Amino acid sequence: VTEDGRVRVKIRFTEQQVILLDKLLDEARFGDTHADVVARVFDEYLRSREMKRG
Amino acid sequence: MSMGMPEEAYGSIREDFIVTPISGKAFPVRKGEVYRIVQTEGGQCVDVNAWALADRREFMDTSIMRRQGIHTPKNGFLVSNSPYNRLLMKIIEMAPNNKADVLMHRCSRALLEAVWEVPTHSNCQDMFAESIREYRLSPDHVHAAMCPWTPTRVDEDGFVRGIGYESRFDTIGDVMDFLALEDMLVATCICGIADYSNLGNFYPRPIQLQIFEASEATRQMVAETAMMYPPLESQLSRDDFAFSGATADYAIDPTPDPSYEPHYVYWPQKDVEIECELSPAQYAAVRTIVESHRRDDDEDAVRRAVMEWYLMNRTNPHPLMGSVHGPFNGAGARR
Repeated sequence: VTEDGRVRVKIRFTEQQVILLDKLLDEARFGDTHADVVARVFDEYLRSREMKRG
Repeated sequence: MSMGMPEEAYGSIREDFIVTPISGKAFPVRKGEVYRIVQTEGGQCVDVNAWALADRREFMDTSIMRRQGIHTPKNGFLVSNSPYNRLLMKIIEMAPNNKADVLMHRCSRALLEAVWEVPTHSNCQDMFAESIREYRLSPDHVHAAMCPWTPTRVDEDGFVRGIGYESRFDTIGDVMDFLALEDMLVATCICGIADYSNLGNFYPRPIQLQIFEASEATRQMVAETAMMYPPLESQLSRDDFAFSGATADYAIDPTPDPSYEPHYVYWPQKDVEIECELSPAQYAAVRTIVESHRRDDDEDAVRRAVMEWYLMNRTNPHPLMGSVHGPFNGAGARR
């Protein structure tokens, strides 16, 4: 846990999954690093769940 | 264990092999022997191919097996293609939650390129081909697979849907036992797209294969099956058919090629660790998902969320995938 309350989580992805993260990096809308992509796509996932719930 | 076939009645274990992600393995299995698949860590979609050792043109045919259901049940049979239509193996042990799908066919390079635009990804077609190369078979001998631990359903409009298990803990420790009614070559692989699909909980894990030698009890069960379903006059052998052209030997040599060394793509599986900083709100959501969706831990919850989102938002509709991950009406286009 960082000083500002953020939580560091280590996540293992397979090499082949990283190919998909690279594709998202290429879109240039999810940040500049794999860590940015994972955090922002996780947000998108949460939003899509909220939309599903209505 | 049902059917009067306790495990103690099987013969000794003669093969005990761990299939590591992402790979497969083929073994000859003799009449009366028991071939076992073990879900050592759970949640893993598995693919199975099987051929008659006497003639490689006779193999498990999932299309005729669908008459037993889209999930072949316990006490169901692996049946060979026409014109043979013989009972090749019998499922004698199977956990109730194990859905052995016979609809999904198998994944291939073309499927991965069409849907994910990743033509180099591991896939069941290539893994089967690589595993049976040890017995001098080639990629065109791979056939439609039975997929144990692959929950699927057909919806009210007739579309096939891949469901998967919510948690790998639903299947951990399961065994599936096949009694060989004929001499067979059996190949089993870990689903090639287990990391891109909910059918492998988005993270490929090992499985275990065991072969038990024939025993008096298993031979008796083979005999009882033959009495229940005796050979039919119309079940001809290859010697009964008139072939034109040169006579070929279609028998599979059960001796492994001594020069064989397996070469699977992205094998052994390697991980890349990514450290993310999540806001308190994001982390609270992670914990909710872990608990409400029975994920392994924080890592599993985030990884699966990211890959699910990709699957639903960045893959191409395509006839090769059909309706497995969503509606498909033939009108979809590449994103």
